[in-house]
Amino acid sequence: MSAGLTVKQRILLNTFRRFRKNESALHPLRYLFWECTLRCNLSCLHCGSDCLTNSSIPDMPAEDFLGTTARIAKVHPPANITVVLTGGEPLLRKDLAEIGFRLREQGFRWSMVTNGYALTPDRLNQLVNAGLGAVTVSLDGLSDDHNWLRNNPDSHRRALEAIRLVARQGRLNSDVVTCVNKRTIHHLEGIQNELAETGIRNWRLFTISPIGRAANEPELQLDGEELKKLMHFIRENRKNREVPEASFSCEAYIGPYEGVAREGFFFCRAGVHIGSILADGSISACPNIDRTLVQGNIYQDDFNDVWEKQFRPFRNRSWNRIHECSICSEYKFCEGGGLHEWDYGNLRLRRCHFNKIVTGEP
Amino acid sequence: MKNLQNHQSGSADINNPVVSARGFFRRNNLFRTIFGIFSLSGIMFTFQACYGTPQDFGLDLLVQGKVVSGSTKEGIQGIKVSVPSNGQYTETASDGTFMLYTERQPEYRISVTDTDGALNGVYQAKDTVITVPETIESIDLRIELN
Repeated sequence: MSAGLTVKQRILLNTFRRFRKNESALHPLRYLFWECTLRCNLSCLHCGSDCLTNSSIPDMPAEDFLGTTARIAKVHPPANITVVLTGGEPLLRKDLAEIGFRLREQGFRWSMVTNGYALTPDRLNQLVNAGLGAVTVSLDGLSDDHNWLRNNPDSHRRALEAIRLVARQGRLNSDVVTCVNKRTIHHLEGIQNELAETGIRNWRLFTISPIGRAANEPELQLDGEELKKLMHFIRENRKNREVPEASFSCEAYIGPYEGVAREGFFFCRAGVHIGSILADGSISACPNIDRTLVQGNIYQDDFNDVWEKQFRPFRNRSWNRIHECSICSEYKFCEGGGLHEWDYGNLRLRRCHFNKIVTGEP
Repeated sequence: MKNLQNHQSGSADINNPVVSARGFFRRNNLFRTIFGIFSLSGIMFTFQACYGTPQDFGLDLLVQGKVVSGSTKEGIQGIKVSVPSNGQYTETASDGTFMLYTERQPEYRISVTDTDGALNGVYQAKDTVITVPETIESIDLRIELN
């Protein structure tokens, strides 16, 4: 199977491998997710966290989280770390501004991922006052497709309004993410035109991982040809310097599109640069990674100890050189792809973007 | 010693046993510097997690202070403090204090307005222009209203 890489790509990817190996050894914490609530005001078909309107897991008290971040700040320079509030839907917490001020006081930067549904001008003003520095808003298609996926007839209008608000706020480093599926793959230009009118500058395109609720929705998965179409769209967009600038997310190794469909090369930084504190106090990397990879819990363990002494499967990925990965010529560049694509309990890779792109298979 | 423990935890390069932990970390940090120089754009170090936001490296300033009555010198509650250039605003607390982070600019006009009518007394609006040296991260203001 030919990977279709150019000589230049091969040289750069080989150099990047050294960087990746070096960073895995050093594992400086740069990015800390906090799953601040599992409550959500939407019930999306593709939700990876399977969150609910009324979660059975209560929100973590702010003091428990801030006590942990205070201890983290003693070991890891907080100025280098962005704390990312995610959920559920973070805006359902009423204490975000207080938490934000405290995080800034401790020396961290903070940001938020939101569906935008509950974002109003007053709320955004309050959060920017509290030192919010970056926001990502989801827009998953034109009106019908977005509302279908988000299970709410008003969600598209509200998301678009939130994007306009965020784009106007000069302090914020912001972008929009779109989860591309079988419906939206045919409307990418339309979505881009819609986004261009909001003033947003950056647009990240994802595929949908078959986890959580999305595992039961085959319409959400792109086949090989559709994935290639997505790559082609992004490549042409970047070539033509369209605004907002489209890029493929860092979710997977994409072979011939590495360094083309996104800036830089694939590197799953989970557990290397990225840690997380989940709603129940679990310590892991990205929140969408298989929960059997949880490394500790802030209610029993010291985060700093866990970060330094655990996380072995994240920093040495040799365990996943199995099945199709064991015979793949590209393993050295991808190391099994994004960890969220692994069913760690059963040591099974759910899907391989590279394989889809090269073979065009479903 | 801490680094040695970290290394021994297995997070380092398992295929290449390391003789000296100190040497190991020096070598890895050296690699880091070299990568940083050659990548120029810093893209190797700037990233965003798949389902996360961009990192925040933006420059901002913490503007905090107190709005007091010119006659009693007591703090005034419910006064709107705003930055007209970017539309940000906040309201003073019961002791007249306020606090907000705002995009860094070399000079700010801070507007202070009584918006609650007679509720906490009636005061004239006031604009204050402040110049911000590049080196400071926060500024503390005391604004008197008549």
